[in-house]
Amino acid sequence: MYRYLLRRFAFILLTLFLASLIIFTATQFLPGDVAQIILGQFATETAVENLREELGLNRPLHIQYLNWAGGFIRGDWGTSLVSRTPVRPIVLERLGNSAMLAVMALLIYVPLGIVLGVIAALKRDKLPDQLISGVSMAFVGLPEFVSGLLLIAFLAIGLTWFPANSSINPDTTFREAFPYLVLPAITVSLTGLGYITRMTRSGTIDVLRMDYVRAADLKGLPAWQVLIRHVLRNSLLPTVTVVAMGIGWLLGGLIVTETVYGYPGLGRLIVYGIQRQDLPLIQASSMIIVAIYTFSNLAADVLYGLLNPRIRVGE
Amino acid sequence: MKKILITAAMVLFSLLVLASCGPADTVEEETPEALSPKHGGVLRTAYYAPTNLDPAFLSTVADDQIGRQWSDFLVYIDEENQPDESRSVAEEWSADEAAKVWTFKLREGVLFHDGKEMTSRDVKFTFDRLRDPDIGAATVALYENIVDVTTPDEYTIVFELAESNPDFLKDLADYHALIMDADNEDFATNFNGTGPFMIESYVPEDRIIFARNPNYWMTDEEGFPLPYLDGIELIFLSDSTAQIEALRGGQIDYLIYLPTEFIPMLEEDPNIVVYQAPSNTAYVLRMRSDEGPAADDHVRQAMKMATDRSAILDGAIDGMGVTGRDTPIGPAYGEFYLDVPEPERDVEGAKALLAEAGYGDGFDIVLTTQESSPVPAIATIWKEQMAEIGINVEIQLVPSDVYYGADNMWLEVPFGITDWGSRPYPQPYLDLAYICDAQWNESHWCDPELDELADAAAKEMDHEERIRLYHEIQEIFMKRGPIIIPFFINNIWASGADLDGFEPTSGLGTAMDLRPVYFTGQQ
Repeated sequence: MYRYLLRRFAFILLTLFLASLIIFTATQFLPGDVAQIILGQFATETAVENLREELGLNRPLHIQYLNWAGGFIRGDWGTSLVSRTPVRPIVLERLGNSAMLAVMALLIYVPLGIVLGVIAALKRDKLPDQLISGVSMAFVGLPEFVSGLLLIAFLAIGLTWFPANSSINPDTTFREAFPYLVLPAITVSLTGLGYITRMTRSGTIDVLRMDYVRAADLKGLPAWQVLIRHVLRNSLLPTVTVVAMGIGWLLGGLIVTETVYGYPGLGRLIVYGIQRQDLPLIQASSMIIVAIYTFSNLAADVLYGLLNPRIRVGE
Repeated sequence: MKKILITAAMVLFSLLVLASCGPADTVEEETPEALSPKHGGVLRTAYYAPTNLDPAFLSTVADDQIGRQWSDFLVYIDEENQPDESRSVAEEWSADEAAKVWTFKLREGVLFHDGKEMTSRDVKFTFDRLRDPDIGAATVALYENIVDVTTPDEYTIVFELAESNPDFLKDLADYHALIMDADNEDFATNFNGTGPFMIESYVPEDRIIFARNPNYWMTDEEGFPLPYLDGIELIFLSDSTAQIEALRGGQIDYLIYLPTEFIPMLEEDPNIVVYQAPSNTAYVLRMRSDEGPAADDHVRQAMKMATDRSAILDGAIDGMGVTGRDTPIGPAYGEFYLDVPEPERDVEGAKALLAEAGYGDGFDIVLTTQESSPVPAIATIWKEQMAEIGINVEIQLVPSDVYYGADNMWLEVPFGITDWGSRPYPQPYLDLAYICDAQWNESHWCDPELDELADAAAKEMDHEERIRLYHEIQEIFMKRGPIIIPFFINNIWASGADLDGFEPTSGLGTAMDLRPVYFTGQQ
């Protein structure tokens, strides 16, 4: 187990290193020039050149990379080119906000998806199954900027149940932020729900076919006990993986949702960074997202192993 | 209960009015500030994030909007494009006959937010900084004509010019010319201004919060101190749909520079008021006149004849503007504008002109088009109109920051659509884009006759003669100019129905003045 973890860890380091190279290179090829963007299109050449020098944009690329990567490891994530303040507190604060939104979304779509998936499996190929499978897949395909705007139109502007915009102060607490989290969380959930439902459904259908389920049934256990003790423990295994990986997706992939609602998470921060060509901000945010992805992947695998003794990795 | 409150408020109000009628100049400023029923409330608004708050390097609308809240102009240009002493920190000014020596008398007792009094030293510092080539602000060329700035005393400031400049007051109102504190050492982080609002907090990637400046120098007609609002909260939202939904959802009170496609929806909303005012903002379809087919006057003329301006105005922005005449001087300039009827579209005439120029079989061009609305719509409609005279237009879409990016695509491409914002007077357009050696001569046009007229108009002190010169310039543009201006788009903004006090602003260099804006539902 330890050797397995060590090996996985080494792979993660390699992934992060490669990702850092890609992120750094990619940001160099963004169209436009940072200094020009900061000073505006009407500033003189001299002013732009002075600023380039000041920001260290004229140094050779490999030096810039080493400075950046070295600093990143030491916890110095650079200074925002636009606000001239350290990037790390901004990114961490936004990460916290994205986490609030992620928790909220997980609380909505995971239980709901499991319940719907089980119902669909039990009523396989009957109307409830068709309804659940059809609708949830339709939501997976619906882009967030469409579902988000529809939700705003109905629930925020039509019924005025929730605020139409979630541009809260970035340092708001979870309790204060709660009403502003509902609509974005539902928007995200609509996408996530379909995957969970589908996974649960197919897992449950597989397990329902197993002999031990029939045996449990035949020995006279009540149906709900069979379901919870014998079916779900096995059928939810693949779902756990999807949930764990979903955390990575939730923390990094909310760019559209956060932009539609103006929610101050990591996604909106990245959009801002790209618009302003704030390279340190883009680089730090992207690295964090990559890190979360790789670690949530690892978590999914480890969790899967723990829950499923059959594939536990040998010593 | 409510009645009692209202009566009490009325009594209080009349007392205040009486008090303000009392003997003036009694130095009793220490008593708590008397506020009117219009006072109070925080204005919430949203816009794209600013790029720079240092006045010397303001470039976007957001930058401008923020700057004019925390600072002031020496000369304020009003909604009719006239200098307004009552809104300027200079209370009076005069020029010698040649308009070469300009003297300004500053208001006394104008305080910076940190309590320091603003004097002529700060004003001199401001303009010296803006014209310093080593600092390299966007205004260096604009203020090249200034020979010296002197300060005979604390409240007097004198500008000496190399050449006559009848527009000098308007030059001084350029949006970069916010009066700075001469002791400020870091303009990126220190926003010590004299403006109506003080920056309370600024998070570049999230929002900026302003608090009312309790010491602001301006008062309303009844003598109450301005501004009325307790503060402003400007949230940076990078998505226009999100901005609009926030307004419709009542989470913000006010939005500027609205895209036309949202207007019909907003106008139906009983809680929202939409304002429109004509402006000189245009999407200029400019043609390289030094190479390619458009180097031929006939070809440019044919393309203008084949353009249906009304169709583009209706199709691209739902008619929320006025059609152009292919000159940068629009109807918003009143007398300077040469008012001729919109030319009839003439496809046959255009074809004949093309044939005369040797392009009887037409030709292919690439039109570089910014992705931001409404430019792609303009390009698409124009492309169809050109197809009718055999010109095949290929639309090349690029993001705006690439179009204006480091490679200066907008100055190089053969055909492009460039947006030019409103200015309080026509001269800058000519000097910046159309004289032979203009800094942004994007169409690479060079017409000695135009240069001569533009130079004369810049210095002409006689108003009637100046009008004549500008009219002549517009005739040249119509005859052989390098641009097509399908329309001038209205300046459009919206607010909650409970906000009032907006002056309809053409956007000719004057962005929204929030000093007189107030909530109607107070008390």
